[in-house]
Amino acid sequence: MNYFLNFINSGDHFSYVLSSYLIVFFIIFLIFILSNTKTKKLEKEFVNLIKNEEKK
Amino acid sequence: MKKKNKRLITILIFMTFFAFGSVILLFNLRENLIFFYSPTEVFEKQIETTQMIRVGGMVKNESLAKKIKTIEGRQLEEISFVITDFENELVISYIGILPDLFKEGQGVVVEGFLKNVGKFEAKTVLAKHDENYMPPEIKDIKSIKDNKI
Amino acid sequence: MIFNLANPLRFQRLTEKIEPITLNIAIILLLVGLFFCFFGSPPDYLQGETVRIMYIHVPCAWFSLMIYSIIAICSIFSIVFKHTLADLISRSCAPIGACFTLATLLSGSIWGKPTWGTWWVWDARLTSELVLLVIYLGLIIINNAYEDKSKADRYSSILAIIGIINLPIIKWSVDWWSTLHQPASISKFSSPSIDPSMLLPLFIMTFSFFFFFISILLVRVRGEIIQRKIEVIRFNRMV
Repeated sequence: MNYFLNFINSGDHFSYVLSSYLIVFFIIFLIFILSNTKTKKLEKEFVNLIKNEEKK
Repeated sequence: MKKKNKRLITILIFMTFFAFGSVILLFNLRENLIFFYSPTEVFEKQIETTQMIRVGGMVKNESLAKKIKTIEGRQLEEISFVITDFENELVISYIGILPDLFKEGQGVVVEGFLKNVGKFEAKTVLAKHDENYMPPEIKDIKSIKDNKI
Repeated sequence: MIFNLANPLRFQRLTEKIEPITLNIAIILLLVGLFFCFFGSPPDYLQGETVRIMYIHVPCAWFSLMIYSIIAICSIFSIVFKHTLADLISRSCAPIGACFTLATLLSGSIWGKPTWGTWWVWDARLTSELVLLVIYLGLIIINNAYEDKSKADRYSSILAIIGIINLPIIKWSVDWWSTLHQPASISKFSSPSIDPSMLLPLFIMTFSFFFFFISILLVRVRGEIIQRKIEVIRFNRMV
């Protein structure tokens, strides 16, 4: 706990560390979300295609 | 010969040639890829005083000194210190703010102009840190041990 | 075993099961890792609190190289054996690798400011990592530039194979040339020069990022397989 309190109170260093963590997690989160939405969209498209195929 | 094997061999040959080419290129570019010279290299190389260069080394212990200088009517603090590669030394003078990590006994890279023999005027000072990471308490224990030996 | 998996359909069925597991492991490891990053690890004797950036910067850098190696191996497979799954994997890896490389550069830059005193220098390590990002972007652009997928795969494989030369340059740049960047702390041949208390969060974060990578990769590969299926259906309809 002491480590954390010292870290929070480290002023300048705290903001550098925090911003780097935020940026890195934002980038990883972004690629995660983009990949999931892309795959979901393709899955939907595929299901629709199969349905149309069966109608014929 | 099977088509697969042919392709495999083509790629292997291509990669070997490419690797050789790159190695030769990199060896020739060595000079340009070096980020900084050591003090010894500075002495060996006969560098022009008009050429901006970077020199790196260890800040010598107890060499850091500050004095007030008046330049163009303004009072400025001139910092001077010695960097060493344990063979040769170079006296650096610098006006400006030192990075947080700047410490005696630690690595540093300075960018600026060579004045005359053994003197260097720095425009920027960058701290270089080593690959060792440890908590302060352990560092204290280690330095006590080192001093005893 | 490998040839069993190399069938895209079987691969797809298996990955659907693995996907949620890897994601859960990644999130659990992330939470544990973050605890050790901020609560369970001491500041550095020299850098102070900024050493905490290492716990995410170093894993990102490792994975930027590892993902490129995967792309390179898959590219060789793709050109020599013309295997579809290899194409799908290298195609899916490129954007993830680019993200890890970007994360490495940005977190490194933020680390450099308080420690070195500069955001960016053109030393060999930093420049070669930037070149890696450019290669990744090139791969992404080529992958999406052609209507004909097999053509795109062939050209991007060639670029990936040429780009292999950059990997040893990044890895050993700090040893071959004098750089501002410090040499590696962890290597095969010597004990790590990082205190155990700092090694723990580093490794936990590394594993967490690894499982994130696997989970994102599986999602992307699944998407690529579906896309190929859609294309086949469309093609059949046109004929």
